[in-house]
Order: sequence, then structure tokens, then C-alpha cells
Amino acid sequence: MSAIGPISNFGSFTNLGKDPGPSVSRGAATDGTSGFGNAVMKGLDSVAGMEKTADNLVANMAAGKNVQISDVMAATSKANLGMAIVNELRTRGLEAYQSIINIQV
Amino acid sequence: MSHGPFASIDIARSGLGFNKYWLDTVAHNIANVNTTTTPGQQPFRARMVVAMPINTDSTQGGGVYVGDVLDQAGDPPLVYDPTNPQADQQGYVQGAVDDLAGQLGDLILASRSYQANMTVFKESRESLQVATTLGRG
Repeated sequence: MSAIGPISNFGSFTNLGKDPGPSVSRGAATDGTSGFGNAVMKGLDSVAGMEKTADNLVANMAAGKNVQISDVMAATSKANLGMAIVNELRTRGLEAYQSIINIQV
Repeated sequence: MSHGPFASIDIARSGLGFNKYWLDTVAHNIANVNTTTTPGQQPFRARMVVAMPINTDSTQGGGVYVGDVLDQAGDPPLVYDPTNPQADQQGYVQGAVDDLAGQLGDLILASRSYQANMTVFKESRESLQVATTLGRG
């Protein structure tokens, strides 16, 4: 993730989804705990957790254990949506990066 | 977890779980509508599911859960059937404390509630899917 370090000045996205207010900090991110790449990594970690939950439920269901279909569908939907959101954030970040790359000098 | 971006999915999931439990209970009650016992024994009593809200520290609440399962109250009907092997000395058998018409009503309620929660689930998922495309060029 160090390759996209230069755009970390756009601030921290870690508050996304928690607070609807304009909480994006504008401070320069120089440490490893903030910055766009780090936020995406955190998002991916969270999605990986959701996918693991969904995987466990699907495996239990396939094994004939007492698992409710609604639980499986909720877990898979959440994993799916989480992945879509993180992927969208990554796309937007890359778009911004591309715009900067294409600035004529 | 009942807050955050997937709150409504979790709440709808709890509704689906509750209503599935209710449907299963109604199935059990309907299956046992003809269950007889010898007078003096415990009669079959229809099971009633008690809904309880899941309260969380968040303002919108957290859904529903099966708070309790109660037995239907009332006296069992006595039927004169001396040839029945379950009959007592006087020739009576004891029916189930179970109301088929009421259970069929509950069946419709439970299945419609399940569908309503399914609609919430679908709408919530679609809204979130649309939200990811906001502002896309």
C-alpha cells in the first residue's frame, strides 16, 4: 500500500460510516495509522471478517447443521455489500490519483 | 451488532428468525391438533411464542427475539370414546388444548410477517447497493 502513499494528504477516511458529519480530518498524514491506503486496508480487514462469518454459516448449512437460512443470507449480503463499498472507495481513490497523475505541467 | 451501515439488515434478520420460529411452532400446534391423552395426564397444549424487542443503546432498537414460549391455558375437551385405548374407566379421552382455526390464523400472520421482514431486508440491501453508486460520474 505504500505505492499510493502520496495521496494520503487527502485525510483520514476511517470515520466513514460512523459519523455523517464532516469529520474527515485535513491534517497531513505521515504516520501509519491514517491515510487513504490504511483506511482501505482497514475496510478490507473488516470485509474479510464478514466473509469469514458468511463462510462459516454456509459451511454449517451445507453440513446440515441447524443454521437459519435468514442468517446465512444476511451474512452473505453483508459481506457482498461491504466488499462493494470498499471496492467503490478504492475506485474513487484511484480516480483521484489518476486525475493528479494526468495534470499537465 | 445493531448499529452501523447494516443495522436494518440485522433487524430484518431478527424478524425473519422470530417469524420462522413462530411458523415452526404453529406447524407443531397444527400437527398436534388431534393429539389425545388419558384424562388425568398432561394434555397437549398449543405453544404460544412471545415476541420481545431487542433493546440496544442505539435509538432505533435492535429487532425482535423469542422472549418466551408459553402453553395455551384452558381445560382440555373430554370426548366419550370408550373403544379408544387411551380412554379412562368412564370411557373418556382428553383432547388437545389447541384451536385449529386460531392456529391457521396465526399461520397466515406468521408467514405474512416473514414476508414483510423479507421486504425490509431486500429494500435495505438495494438501498445500500444504490448508495455505493452515489456521485459516480
